[in-house]
Amino acid sequence: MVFELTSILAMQGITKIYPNGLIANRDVDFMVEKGEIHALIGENGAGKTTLMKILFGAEQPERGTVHLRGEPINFSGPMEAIKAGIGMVYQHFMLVESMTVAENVVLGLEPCKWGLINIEEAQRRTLEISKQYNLNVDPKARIMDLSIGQKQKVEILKVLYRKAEILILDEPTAVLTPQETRELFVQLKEMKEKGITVIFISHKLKEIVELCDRLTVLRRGESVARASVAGITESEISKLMLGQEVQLGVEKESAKPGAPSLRVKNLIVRNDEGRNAVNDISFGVRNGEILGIAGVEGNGQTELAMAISGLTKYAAGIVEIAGKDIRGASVRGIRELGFSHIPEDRMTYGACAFAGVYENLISDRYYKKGYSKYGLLQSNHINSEGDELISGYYIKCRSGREPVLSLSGGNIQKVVVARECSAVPGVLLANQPTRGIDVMAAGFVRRKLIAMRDTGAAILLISADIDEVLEVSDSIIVMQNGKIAAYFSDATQATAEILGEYMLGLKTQTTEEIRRVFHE
Amino acid sequence: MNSRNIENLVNILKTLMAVVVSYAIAAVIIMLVSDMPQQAISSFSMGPFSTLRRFGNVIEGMIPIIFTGIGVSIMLSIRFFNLAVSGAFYMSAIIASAIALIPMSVGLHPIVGIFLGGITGAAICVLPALLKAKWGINEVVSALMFNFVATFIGSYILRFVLFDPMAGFMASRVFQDTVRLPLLIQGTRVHVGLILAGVVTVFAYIFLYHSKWGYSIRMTGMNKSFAIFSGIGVSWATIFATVIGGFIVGVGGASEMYGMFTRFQWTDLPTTGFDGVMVAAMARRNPALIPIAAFFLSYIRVGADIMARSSDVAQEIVAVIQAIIIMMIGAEALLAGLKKRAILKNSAKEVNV
Repeated sequence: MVFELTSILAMQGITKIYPNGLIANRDVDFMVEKGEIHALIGENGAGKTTLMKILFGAEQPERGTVHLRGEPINFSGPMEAIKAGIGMVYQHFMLVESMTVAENVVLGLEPCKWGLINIEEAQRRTLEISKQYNLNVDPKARIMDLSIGQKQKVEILKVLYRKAEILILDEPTAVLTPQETRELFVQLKEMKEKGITVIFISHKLKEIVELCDRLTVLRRGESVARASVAGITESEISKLMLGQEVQLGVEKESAKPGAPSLRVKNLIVRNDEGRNAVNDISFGVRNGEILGIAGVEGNGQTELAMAISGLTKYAAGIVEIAGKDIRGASVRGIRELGFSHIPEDRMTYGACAFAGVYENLISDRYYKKGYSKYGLLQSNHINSEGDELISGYYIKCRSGREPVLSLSGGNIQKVVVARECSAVPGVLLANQPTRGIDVMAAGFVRRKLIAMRDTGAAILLISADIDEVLEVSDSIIVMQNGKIAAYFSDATQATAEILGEYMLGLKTQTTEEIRRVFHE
Repeated sequence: MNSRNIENLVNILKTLMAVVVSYAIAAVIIMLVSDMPQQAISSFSMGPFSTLRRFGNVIEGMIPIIFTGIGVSIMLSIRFFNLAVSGAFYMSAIIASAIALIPMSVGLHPIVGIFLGGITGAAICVLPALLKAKWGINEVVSALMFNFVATFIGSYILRFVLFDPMAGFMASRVFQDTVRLPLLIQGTRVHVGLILAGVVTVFAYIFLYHSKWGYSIRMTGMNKSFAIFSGIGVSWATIFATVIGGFIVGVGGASEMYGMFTRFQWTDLPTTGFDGVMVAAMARRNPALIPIAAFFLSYIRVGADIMARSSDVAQEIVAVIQAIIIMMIGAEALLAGLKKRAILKNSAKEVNV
């Protein structure tokens, strides 16, 4: 086998099969040079995470070799990988919220004096590293008081404190605003100058072109390309990633909004800690309109969705669906008003993993006329309608009886979307409708939302993906700290940069401007 | 073949292997304790089939276990682990016995008794569900407590209400002849309860897999959050499952009385309730498989009985064998290696294509 001797990391012929039969990696080659920023790109489910888990020792490959600095390695666990100078920053932060930055950074490797933790030394070293790499955070601040962008810096500091020479970032920009992303890129380039190798996992083409030196593309578990970023265009990368030319954007005509079908007035929702997660907000969603809610996650969007759908109680305010106040109504009662909901967590709320596709498609209507008669389920009708939905929504499954568990994430999401859209709702709440699914499925879901809008449904779209909000919505509100920070009656007037400023709380519109979204 | 099929195949293999392994262990134990192991083993395994009477014993023993097994399967379908089935079975037998002492017309008498037995079973099984829905009391704890309550109320009723001072032992007065369930097979004690058990099995299967109530019960059991999100009334479904399951258990208690006995004389909880839990686990909550599991359980019990009488092996050995079988079937890791290899091989084939 041939590999460049300069490669700091060479993974060759990696094949990984999971116990459930999924082939996550198939003969993958992955080489990284010292001091570069190397993009590992591919769709969700292409095998990026598995490859990194193998490198990190969290999974063992069935076949293949890993060389680090020319030496063959076989880590049996993350501790060994960390010792060998590999550090990973996960998408979901692993920090102790109640402790300070310095305490989190040194956790597990605390500087000690007389057998006790030397807090001053921890703070001094944290400060030293943060100065060195220009990652400015106060070592004495508590994690829970930090913004998402700052928390990410703490994660990077943690890795650098452990003297990592290879830094793996798993979709680091997914949770960041455009401003925070730009800051992160500056810092990553600075680290590169200081000799640190960065592996950047992403599927955002723009960012890769802007930041990275070289890239490796994974598709369906195989490595399909290795190239220098300088010599490749965005559309070429996209084609490599998807295996075919795909129209990524969605087309739509301008909205013709009618009267509001969903109205929220002075709504207050408390979270488990008793804090006002949704703090006195009012808005209306009109028929034939998609109202997008942009915002950094954790600014009250989840609580808002739970309250509107009847899954949690709200402390004060009014929610009206089709002109009816839903206070005290059951979930079924709310659905019968013509409300549908694509939930953000499809495996907890959206689908029943062990039940078949047919059974998942009827959970909101199984008791209704046509689906059951004298208490008995009408399987002929259920199965034939199920087959129509399976073909109409391009759900890939062996049969309608196949458990949802064995479908891919994108197909499970299509099952959820098929059920919620086929209910022909007057009001549709779509919460993170394309999270974690492949580009083709995401495009399908977005086009479906627009088609629903065109037939007159009022659609509330909640998404942490700014590009999605901008692309799909007709009008946009920004949620920040439980309140509406801005309203754009025409989504084309907003850009990621402008939204980002409101998302970060740098700017807020006047009460008068925001009040327009109530559509009095 | 796909991964799902491998999974099903492994489950069947696992059950078979559990039986084989536990029989092998039983054989070893018998050989260690017995001076005539060959005879002991043959009477243990073949004894139940040697005469019609003995085979009848297997069928008689199977009937009540089918009822409790079905009842438990319905409740476990909503993940409600209700041990009150034991107390429910016992109490419904007592109530049925009390009804059996009242004179009534021929056809009506067993129907009234069995129906009231069912109501008793439903009432006891629903209590832990209500307590959980209302105050969040853990059902295992409350059900165990209800079993004590049922035992002592039952023995109170036996001693002070139904007791027959002429019997010479602790028993109720003799049942009216009108209540007796007709025999099904001459030369055995197999009674009409067998047909009732068959009807209940079919009913339970259709109820769970083809009715809207069964659908809401199964969905709630498999993913409660999904059920709530979809608008299924989760607390109501739990209560409904325990009422239906408890009713079936109660019907079992009453028909056991009317088919097998002429007086009530249980002074302690019979094991039939726990047997139901055992067969429900073996059948993986599928009502269609409950009769097979119940037959098997009854078969090893009768075999043990015959072995104890015709050889020098004590009946206690059988309790050991039973325990081994249940553990084997419950063991998730058993054959896990085989399953993984089969799935890997299957996927590896795809890789090379």
